[in-house]
Amino acid sequence: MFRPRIIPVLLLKDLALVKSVQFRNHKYLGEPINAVRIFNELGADELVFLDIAASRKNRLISLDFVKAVGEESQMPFSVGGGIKTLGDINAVIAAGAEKVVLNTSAGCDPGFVKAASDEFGSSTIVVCIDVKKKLFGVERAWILGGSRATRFSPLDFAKLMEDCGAGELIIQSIERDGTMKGYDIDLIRSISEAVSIPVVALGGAGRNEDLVDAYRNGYANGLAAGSLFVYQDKGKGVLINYPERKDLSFE
Amino acid sequence: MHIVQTTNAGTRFASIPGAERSKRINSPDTVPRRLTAIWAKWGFRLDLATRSLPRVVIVDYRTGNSNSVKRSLDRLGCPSIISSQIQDVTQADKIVLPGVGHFRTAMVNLSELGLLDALNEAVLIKRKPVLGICLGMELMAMTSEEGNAHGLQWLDAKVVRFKPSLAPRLKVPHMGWNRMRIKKVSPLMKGVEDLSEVYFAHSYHLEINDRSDLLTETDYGISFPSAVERNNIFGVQCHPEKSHRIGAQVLKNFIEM
Repeated sequence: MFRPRIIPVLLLKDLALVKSVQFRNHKYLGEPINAVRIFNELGADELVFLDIAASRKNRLISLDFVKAVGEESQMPFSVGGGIKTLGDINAVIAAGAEKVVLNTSAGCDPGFVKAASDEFGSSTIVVCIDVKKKLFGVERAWILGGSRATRFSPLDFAKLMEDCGAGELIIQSIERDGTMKGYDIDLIRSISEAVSIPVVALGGAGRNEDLVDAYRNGYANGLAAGSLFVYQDKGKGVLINYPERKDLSFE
Repeated sequence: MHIVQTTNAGTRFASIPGAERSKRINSPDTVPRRLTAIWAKWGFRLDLATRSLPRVVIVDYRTGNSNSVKRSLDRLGCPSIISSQIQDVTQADKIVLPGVGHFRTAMVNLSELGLLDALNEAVLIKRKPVLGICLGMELMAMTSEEGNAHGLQWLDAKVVRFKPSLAPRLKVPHMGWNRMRIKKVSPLMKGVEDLSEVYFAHSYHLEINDRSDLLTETDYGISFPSAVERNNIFGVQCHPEKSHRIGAQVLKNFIEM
């Protein structure tokens, strides 16, 4: 039986592990490679690493860092942060990542996603769609770490990315990031119903029930979270954790 | 000689496997890891001198995740090299065809690197064990829908794309953890329980004509061959190098064959 993946998303700032609330107020959590070791022991399905400052500073995520994760990780992992050329993708994959996560480069030039999936295969290319409402309540896909809106609605952008050959979409609600109030199920379902590629829910998960909810009612194929896997509880201390299979029922 | 390292977590003995495993969480730099690295390095040189250990060559065809596979073999203490040299393939005792990427691109690269004859000779004439992983397994088929290309043609099979209409919930690529139903006894699956979960990431799958090649099956809307075996030819659709304990067991079985 196929089961959805449960995916810790780890944010990097200057090679330190951090966690944000609504893309702001980054709190230092610790050393990222240590986190990889713990997730190895806990048997996590997959990891995502995002260098949140890379695109705004116009640089690529550190390849030495990707290599260090690759040395350690016994599970698949994806990497995002300032990837904007085919050469960048090649370098990140060569350093040991399974997949790359594109956000800014995909929003600026959808044709790049097409070129990338032609070269590396769809299963290597993940597009992260950051979603937030603009001033008058119109939802848009955002780029550059949530600092600039694109002209695309999340749904249109998702369909476009599928047409360009993306192998997977991460749908991230900026407004729910770090709040642990639950996923934006309507958003996730609307996109999941419209595309035939896997959709990963991100932003807002605070309890194991939220994961099940995104699978059952949002039709998400991957269930990703940050805070849920790095904090003991809302407002409590740092504790890297991962749900046990028996605690989650997707049947 | 005792090797002792003191860290914040306390004093550790490299020779206690259980203790080493549980404490690795807290310490970024461990003695056993270094020893493994040294062992792998010297083990490989020893191999060149004495040929006592199998010489495993991971074929680098300029696509694919050769490094992850190598690291997994390193962790198992198995010396291996990543190479796209004809000579290395010719001298190999065991061959791994890793895989991530596009079918046609991979075949074009293998051809440009001049590796096709060397691979055919090693696998079909010398009968060296070969393990194809994901795309590496798909390449063993006659043809693929991905780029409409011919494969290595070692298996009477073709590669087809998952139909997007499988079911509303089943997306393509098939990406995630799924179970393998073991269909025959094989050295590759020694110590692997039936219905073990492994990691998949693929849009295409094999359709085999000779059912005796079928080693494991996996359900994803339809039932597809997730591992195949024909004499010395082995293929797995999953990524054993990324499938925790079960994946490591499959790789170990291949090395120990």
